[in-house]
Formats: sequence, structure tokens, C-alpha cells
Amino acid sequence: MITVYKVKNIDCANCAKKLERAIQKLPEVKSANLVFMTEKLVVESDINEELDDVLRKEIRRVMPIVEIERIS
Amino acid sequence: MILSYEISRKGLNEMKKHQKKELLKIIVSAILFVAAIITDKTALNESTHFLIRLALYMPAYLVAGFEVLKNAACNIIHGSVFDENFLMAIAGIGAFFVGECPEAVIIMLFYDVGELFQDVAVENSRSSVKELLTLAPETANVIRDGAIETVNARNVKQGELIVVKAGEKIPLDGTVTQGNTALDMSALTGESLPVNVCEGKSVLSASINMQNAITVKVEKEYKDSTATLIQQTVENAVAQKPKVDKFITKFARYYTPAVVIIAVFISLIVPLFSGNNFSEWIYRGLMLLVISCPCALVISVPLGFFISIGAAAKNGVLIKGCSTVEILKNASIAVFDKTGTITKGNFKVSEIYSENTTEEELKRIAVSIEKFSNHPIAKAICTEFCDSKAYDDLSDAEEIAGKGLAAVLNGEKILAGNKGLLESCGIDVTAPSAPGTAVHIARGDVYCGYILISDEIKNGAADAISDLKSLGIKKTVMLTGDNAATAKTIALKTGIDQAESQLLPNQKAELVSELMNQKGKNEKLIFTGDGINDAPSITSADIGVAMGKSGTDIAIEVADVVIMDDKIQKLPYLIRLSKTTMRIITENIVVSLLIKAVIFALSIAGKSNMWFAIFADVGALILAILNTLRIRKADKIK
Repeated sequence: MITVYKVKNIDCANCAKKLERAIQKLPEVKSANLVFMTEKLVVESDINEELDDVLRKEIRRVMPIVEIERIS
Repeated sequence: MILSYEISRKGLNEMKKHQKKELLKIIVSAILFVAAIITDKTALNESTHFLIRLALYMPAYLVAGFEVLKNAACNIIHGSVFDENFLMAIAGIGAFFVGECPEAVIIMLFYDVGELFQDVAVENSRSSVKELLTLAPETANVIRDGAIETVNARNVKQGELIVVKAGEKIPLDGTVTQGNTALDMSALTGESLPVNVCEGKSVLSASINMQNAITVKVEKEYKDSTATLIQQTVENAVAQKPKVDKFITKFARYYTPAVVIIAVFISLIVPLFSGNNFSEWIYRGLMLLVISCPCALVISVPLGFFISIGAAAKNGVLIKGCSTVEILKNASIAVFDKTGTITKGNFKVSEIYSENTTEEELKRIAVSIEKFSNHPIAKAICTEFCDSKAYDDLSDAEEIAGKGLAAVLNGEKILAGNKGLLESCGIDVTAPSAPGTAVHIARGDVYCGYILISDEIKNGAADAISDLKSLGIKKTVMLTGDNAATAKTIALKTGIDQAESQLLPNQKAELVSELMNQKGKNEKLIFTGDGINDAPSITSADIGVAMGKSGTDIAIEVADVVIMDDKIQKLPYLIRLSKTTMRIITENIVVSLLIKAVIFALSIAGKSNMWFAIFADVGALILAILNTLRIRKADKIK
């Protein structure tokens, strides 16, 4: 199950890398790729509906100003 | 200069809300700061208590630095320490600590200004990336209830009618139901010659309507339309992490903590032992903290690949991964399939020779059996002899890969294929007098004659080969299932060094593997082909290139690169693009590190100031972005 998110308020490339690493470490996440230039986050996971909340929680912890919005 | 103008113009016009807020914050803080300095210089003197001075500068400091301090505090609570916010907070507080109140405010102000510049630069490069990646418009003019409505292209259903006016891009794949016009399909094929379409013709998204308004019935919804599929391929390509990106990521992870440790060391430990001025060393340490951001590196590497892959897509070449761009520059062996790659693949019957039967009978047998195959030669025969009536009672048709076809007609075995196929059944053939591909035909055990098919070399193939050689390709090889005479003629005409003929599909792949084993460690092999039988070779080569127009789906699927318009000239373009991209990326890495190293050394030696430090951070980043954008303009196809 691959989900794509639009990422908002990410304005430093190094921060994007850090956030990506944090998301990759989540147990629910199989793989994660945050592309700074297109502001897209692609997450592979077994869960679907709950994924948004899991990610938002982690983002609030690591980089509170960042917001995500599900595209597909 | 033009580029920086572009940035500043865009920056002012399209400055986002948060950027305007940031600017306002800087202005307010700057006014407060100037007021504080004036008060300091006029009303206060040496004996004034430090706390009063602190209170004087605090408003300016907090306006500029509140967010930084908040984020830093947030991060510390969550256990992640080394980021810009933390560094700047330490730098600011450190300056207050040593009594340099104005310095503290300046650090924050500079940082904010730098951030704003960086933000605008990033925003600008994002929009150029978006421009490169967006092939079709996001909106469509759909006819609903008799009126034209502009809606999001994603919401248009299959079967709906859309209107595409002159000058507009077609948003979705479909069929023309009304009107006729000329289309510029260069975004899809790289071919700039306009294509005429009329009612009933199918059109692809991303084509530009150049003349008259047309009405199009939507055949494919947004997510399945050609432009979306290409765009997705490109986006997936850039999402991959190439080697140099991994290197930079790793570097950034160690670089920042290392600089911070050095900064702490020189600002606290050094003055303890040297007995020198504490505040001077802390100031030097603070400058190091500012330099420690690796953003210039972290941003310019992926941006380089983005621009490169995006520019290639605009030129009708789909690159499916960043690592392909990375290794293309080391290409030294180029291997080609013949048909459809070096030659046009539009076969024509050039001679018919019958023996022991009539010419008409030979044609009938040929049509009957060849209709079972998808091979371009078989298709050519069927098209050419469409007037001859095929036998209906043909059975047990089978394709013998690389050789031809066999079937049974009225109890008699029919063979149609190359010399090898017939000879393996003990049938002697007559050799054709002219070069070309001969399809020999036999009925029962009797030889019936041959049909000679010939193909044309693509325009510019010879130039492309010599261009490749000038770009460092040491060896060019052509592989074909065709006979030696034809292969040799074509190799000679195009300047290909080596021609291997009469190969079966598995032998092609074996030869490619063999060449892969022979090559040097840093040499890369490119294989270019189009057929189903090329797929194994495309997979086993370092870089597999497929022809998009004549190419079979499987070849396109497994390839690293797809040339949309089948032009062999795109191959040297690709290598040139790869060389430019990697050169610019290397330049960025070297220059950024150099700037940082020099200012790092100057800061430790006490010969630098905060301006230089900020330049090493933001200046390096902006330079890297501007340099990277040059890839867009580089390497036009010859």
C-alpha cells in the first residue's frame, strides 16, 4: 500500500532529510521517501486509514510546522 | 545576473504569505534594533548595568528570534538537537552571555534575512522543477449541459467532450470529434514538426494545439493519460537516491555535529588555556555554528538530477532513474540492435523469387503463414501482399525464435524463415543476389523461393555514431538476427565498428553479457533496442535504452531510458547531458565545500565576521542553485 502526501512548510533540504529519517524509523512504515523539490512524501505501509494520524503525530513531534495532505 | 534578477522579480511578485510575514518581522526587528542602538549610544554609558542593556536589545532580539528559539526548545524536548534552530539559538544566547548584545540581535537578523533569501531561491527552483515536470494542464474545458466549464482535469470522466482552443495544451488523451488542426507533439516525442489531425484521429495529452479549436472525446481519464504517466515516471525517477546523494546525506549527518563540536571547543576550551578574551573566541565559535548548515549540498545534488531528468523529458527522452544520469557519462561501449534502432524498421519487399511454383502461389503461402507472427518482417509481408488470399485451413502454426515460422497446410509442412531454418530441415535454398533479409519458403520438402525484404538506415545514424565516438565511446557493436551481408553493409555505412549477425535472441543477450564481462571497471555499456527479443539485453546492460515509438511494451518497461521519437541522435545528447549534470553537481559540491572551508579557517583565525559566515551558509546555497539551473540551458540537441 503506497500513499502519497503533499508536504507543506518544508523549507530546508536538510530538515526534509531529517524528517524522512524519522518517518522511516516508524514501525508502521515500510519505506518512506520525502522529495524536497516536489514537496511530496511517498510512504509504503500496511495500514491505510490510520496512517495519516501516525504520520501527523510523528511530524508534530519532530517538526511541528510541517503539514501533510493526502493526495493518493 | 539574469537569473538572480529572475529570482528577485519572482520573489517580489509571488512572495508567499509566510515570506511576507518573515519580511515584516525582519523590518520590525531592524527598526527596534536601530532604536536600541541609538538609545545605547546616546543615553547609556560604560557604567550602565548589563541587565538594562539586555532589556534594551531584548525586543529586537525576540521579534527576530522568537520562532528560532521556540523551534529549538521544541527540538530539545523531543530529543533531537543538532539543527539550525538549535545552533542559532546557542549563537544568539552565547552572544548575550559574553555581553555582545548588538551581536546577538545581528546574528538573528542575518539569519532571518538568509532564511528569507533561501526560501525565495528554493521556491523559485521548485517552480522551475514543476514547470519541467508538468506536461499537461491541470484544467480542462469540458462541455456539460451545453455550456463550456473549466474544471480540474482530474474530474473529467471518460466519454465527456472537452474543447481545446488554439495555443492550449491537450489535457487528456482522446479522439477528435470536431474540427481539424495541427499539433505540436514535441513534449511527447521531441519532434518539433507539427502533426495534422482531423475528426476521428486520436490525440495525446501534452500536445499543443497550434491552429484551430477542436472538440475531443475523452478516452482516458487523468490518471491514465499519457502526460500523467510520463510525469509519474519522471517523478519516480527523481525520487530515487543516486550514489552521490547518499554520499552527501551521509556527509551532512557527520559534518554538522563535527563543526558544532569544534565550535564548542574553540569557544570554551581554547580561551581557558590561552587566557585570551573569552568573548572573542565565543564569537568565532558562533561563526562556525552558522557555517555548519549543509543545506547548499543537500539541496543542489537532487536539484541537479531533477533539472537534468526534467530537461530530458522536455526533449522527448524519458530517464527512469537518477543513477542512470550518474553512470551515463562513463559510457564506453555502445551496443545496438539493428532493426528499429539503426534502421527504420519499415520493411519493404524488394524482390520476389519463385522456384518450383508460381509467384502468386508463393505470395499466398507467405501471407497464410506470416499472419501468425508479430515480427516486423511478417507484418511487412502481410501488408504488401494483402491482395493475395490466405489459406484458411492452416494449422499448428508456431514461431521459431530468430529463425522463422512453421505450420501445416493440407498435411504438408510449411516453412518460412531464414536459410538456417530450411537447411536444418534438409532443404537447400537459393541465395539472393541483393543485400537484405530473405524469407525462404518451402512446402513439403520442396523449396518454393524467397521474398527479399530490405530496410533503410535511419537519417543521421552515421552522424550519431561518430558523435558518440567523440564523446568517449570506444567500441560500437551492432547485433542482429539478420544475415552477415546485410549487417556488414549497414555497419560500414554507419561507421559501427563491429557487426554480429545471425544471432538468436538468447545469443544477443549472451553477447551483451560477454561484453559486460570484458569491459573495464569504470566503463559502462549502453544497449539500445526495441523488440521483445531485446528485453534481456536491455536488462543485462548497465544502461538499457528502448525506442518508444517502435518499441514493444516489454522493452520500454525494462529499459532505463526511453527515446520517445526513436531518434538515435538522442543517445549522444543523453551522454552530453549526463556529463554536464555531473560536472555541475561536482562544481557545486567543490565550491560549497571550498567556501565553507575558507570561511571556516578565516573564522578560527579571527579574520572573518558574521557576514562572511552567513555568506558561507546562504550564499553558497544560492550560488549552487543558480549554477544548477544552468543545466536547463545546456546541451541542446544537435
